[in-house]
Amino acid sequence: MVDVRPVIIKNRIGLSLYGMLHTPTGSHRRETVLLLLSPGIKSRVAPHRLYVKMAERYAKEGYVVLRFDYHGLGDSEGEVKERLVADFYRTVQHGRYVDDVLAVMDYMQKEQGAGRYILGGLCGGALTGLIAGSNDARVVGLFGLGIPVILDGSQMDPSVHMTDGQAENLRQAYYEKILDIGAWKRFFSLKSDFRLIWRILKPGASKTNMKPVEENGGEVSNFNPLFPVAFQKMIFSSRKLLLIFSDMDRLYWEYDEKFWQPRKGSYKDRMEYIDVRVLKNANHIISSPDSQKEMLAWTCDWLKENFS
Amino acid sequence: MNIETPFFFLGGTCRLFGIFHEAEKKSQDTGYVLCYPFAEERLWAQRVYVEFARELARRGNPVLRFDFMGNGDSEGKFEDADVEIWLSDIACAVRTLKTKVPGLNNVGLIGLRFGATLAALSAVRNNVSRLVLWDPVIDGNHYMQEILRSNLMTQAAIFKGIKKDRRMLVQDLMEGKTVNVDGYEIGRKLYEGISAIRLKEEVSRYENRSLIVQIDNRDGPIRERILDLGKSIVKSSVINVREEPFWREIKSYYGRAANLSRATLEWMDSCHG
Repeated sequence: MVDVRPVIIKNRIGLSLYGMLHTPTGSHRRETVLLLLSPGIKSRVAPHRLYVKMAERYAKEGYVVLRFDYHGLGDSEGEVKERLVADFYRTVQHGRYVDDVLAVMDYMQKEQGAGRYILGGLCGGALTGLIAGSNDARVVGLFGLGIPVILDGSQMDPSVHMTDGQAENLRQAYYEKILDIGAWKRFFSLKSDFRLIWRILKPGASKTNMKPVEENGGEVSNFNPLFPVAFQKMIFSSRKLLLIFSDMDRLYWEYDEKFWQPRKGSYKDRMEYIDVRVLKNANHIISSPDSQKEMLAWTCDWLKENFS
Repeated sequence: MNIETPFFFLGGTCRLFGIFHEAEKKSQDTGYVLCYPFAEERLWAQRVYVEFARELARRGNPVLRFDFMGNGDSEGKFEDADVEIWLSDIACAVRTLKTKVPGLNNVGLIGLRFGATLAALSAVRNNVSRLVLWDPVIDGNHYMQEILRSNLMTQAAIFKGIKKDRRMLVQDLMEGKTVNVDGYEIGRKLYEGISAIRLKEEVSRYENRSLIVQIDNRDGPIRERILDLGKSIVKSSVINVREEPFWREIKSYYGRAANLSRATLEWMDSCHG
């Protein structure tokens, strides 16, 4: 049996955060608490109630699970002042909600005596967890679904920073459209993105055109400088990471090409702490039931192997 | 200071999650139940609902906003839901609000998109005193076809082609299988229930005051279908409000819908509640 009840938690600036606490009532209850961190705008429920399904499953495995809304989102108090979603995402990627995560851990420590946490989340939730966890020893592990390594923003032109995988995918899509009358209509009515088409199809377009990644961010790259620092701290302080990507999600290529390939040498002696898996035929929000099932099985196995 | 209480209450078939917004002052005698739109639209629109509920509470109206069975934080599986269950959920929410506010004279319903459709259907049955429909879904069949199109788009993105066309998806539904739309499993009963809705014919018996809002990112004109719906309800006002379609993924962040909120509150003032 699992007891599900709403909770209200004060964050570090006194705003009420609304959450849902799933508590196993049987003897199989574990001491480690699992926090599901909200992805982007879509509150503690997550796309297609993914976090509700995850919380139910992990609670059955014996974990106390808490999912909650960050300040200004979902039911919580506060305000988001950004006018564009891309600019809002950028602030999340800069760690906007890290303090809320720490406040929730403080609350669970005080109310439930919990001292060990596993953080989990989709997209921005995963990144928030990585940044928060890297600086807090109470966090013993993290599983991230589609974790972003880049910075969004209304001033960013994503096509400039495209990975080889993304470019190849788009190139194939353009080739497939050669016989598509609708596509040519869009082209001649000037509705197509000519700059992007030229960038993808121009002779010699390949990885050699990719601009170098600089860890200080800046104009050369859209790579998030906080990501490698947080990743390194987690791994070199012997915390376990499970990263799950969807094969139809650009975030996987971005992780692989912009972060992992240039740095994998540094981690060759720490691979026992890093587990990266890719869901086949899955999209960013893991909408298909088969992918959800597989993701749930992987995360449960990872929890069992590392935290039982 | 807003006093908001999250809680579970008993719905038509299972426990439903709701948040009760206590009125900050006792100046209004109408309380409102807010009905969320369908599936993912609920998540995109949530913050607009939260802010509007807080606005109403400041104005003196107690509010209950809640998740339908199988949606949000409520219990139940989405694939088991149907229109009748969701209508009984609204009836339970209305009763719950009356229990929370002893002596409350009137209850109004507010809904967006399919939440508005359900609110309108429920208003006829429960004779609520006010009805606010934000861009209601009027033709259920048309709406359901739009939803199925979303499945086709997902197939195209994942498989680079369509494995099952719309006819095959409907066939699956008729055989008792579910169809996945953006992660939500739609079952046959829900598909048939929504497809059968012709709102104009079903709400003509509603006799209390109602506001029908067309939400458009341009200034009108009001679509024929919305005007027809207005004509079918005796005491209705039909207006156009300029807002982006905040129930979908758009470039703008929508924490509140200022025009929609202002127009709705002005209408409430005009009917004293």
